[in-house]
Amino acid sequence: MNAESTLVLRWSLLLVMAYLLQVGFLQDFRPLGVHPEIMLLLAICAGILGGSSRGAIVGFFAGLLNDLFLNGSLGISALCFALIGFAVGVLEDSVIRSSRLISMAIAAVGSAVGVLMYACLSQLLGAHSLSDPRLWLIITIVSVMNGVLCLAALPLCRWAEGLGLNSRAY
Amino acid sequence: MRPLSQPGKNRQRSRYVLLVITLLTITIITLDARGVPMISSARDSSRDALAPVRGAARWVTTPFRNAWNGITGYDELREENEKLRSELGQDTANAMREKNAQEELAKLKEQLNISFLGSTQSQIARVTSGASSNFSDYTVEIDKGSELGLAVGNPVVTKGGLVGRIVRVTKKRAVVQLITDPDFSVGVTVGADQNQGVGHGTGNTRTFIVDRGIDLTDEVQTKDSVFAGGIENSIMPPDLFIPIGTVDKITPDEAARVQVLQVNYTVEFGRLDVVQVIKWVPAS
Repeated sequence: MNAESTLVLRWSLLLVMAYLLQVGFLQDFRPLGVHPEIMLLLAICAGILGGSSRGAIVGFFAGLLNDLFLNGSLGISALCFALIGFAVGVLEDSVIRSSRLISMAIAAVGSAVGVLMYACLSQLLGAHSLSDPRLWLIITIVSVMNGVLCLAALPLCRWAEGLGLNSRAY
Repeated sequence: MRPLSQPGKNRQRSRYVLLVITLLTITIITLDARGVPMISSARDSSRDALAPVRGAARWVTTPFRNAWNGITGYDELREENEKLRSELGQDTANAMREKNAQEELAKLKEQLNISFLGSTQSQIARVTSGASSNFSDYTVEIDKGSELGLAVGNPVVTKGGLVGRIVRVTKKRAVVQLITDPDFSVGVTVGADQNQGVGHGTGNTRTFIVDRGIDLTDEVQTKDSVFAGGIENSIMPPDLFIPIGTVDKITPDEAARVQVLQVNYTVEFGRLDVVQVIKWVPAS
């Protein structure tokens, strides 16, 4: 099996596992009624570790899986997550010195922007997400939780990216 | 570690990838919004295929979820425990008799012996999941689908009254739009005089608003019952009176020359578990 196929296989496996974790457990793990968005987190981590292309591709598939278990329009999460994954990849390129703290901050800010973008697009398509009175609470909680969960997600994404689980970088 | 700066070729490739993905997602969103059968059937098939996987994942994580719910809902749990303990004495004899699954099912059916349904064909279903999104999408998923005759437009009820209507159906599952959705409008009849109006959800699980059709001269009082149905060409069966709730507050709107009714739901949306789907579809 060549390196490219291994990469695809590892990311696919990680996406499926993350999806199962999201729908099986995290959907009910709701501090203040808000659950973390680990599919979005995966897109961000892919952008941090693999660059803008990887961020966009992983974000697209993560978003598409996410859309399957939501009742909104198909493709909204896919578009948002791909754009966020890409943007994070571009941003990471401009960061001279990467650290765990910077990665957490990028994950938190990326998640906040991703949720806001999702709310805007959903509203355009007839949902009431942007006018949801809990909008800022949702953005804050997702942002904080994804920032923290990024510490666990990054090593797994490093494995999927073929960079090794135990590297100390980020 | 990834190099700090990508060569120009890679950057160009990244932009190309982003462009392709953006166009692809916009196409998917457009096709889905226009209800293209290929997209909806692909989505429905994926949902059906993933349903057992999701079920298995939820089963595996049940202890963790219970532990989490125990931590976060401690006060509620304690209150419920006290209530259950007080009921335990009375229920012991019954519980002894209800050991097997068949009897449990019978109990469920008994609970769903809904008087206002009469002889209308219906299907019992269990709510499998509530809101999946962080944002309120005012939907729940039930574990029965088109293979048991369910269709888009079927009203969904409990003993308490109207829960919503089916908006999406796959072979094995269906999505129910709750009456609490601000976009859910339905014709209603109010009070003993059977005044007819139109009401809608408000986004919360307590209040339904009737703000059209009840004239200032119509006799309506607080505590009057509000029903869906009983109206021709409605999204609810014309021959059934499905309870929605009782009038809590009446506010005259002089400008629109109507009375605005604030209605308290009779269904407890926080505790939806087993529902009945009425096998009836609106004409249009």
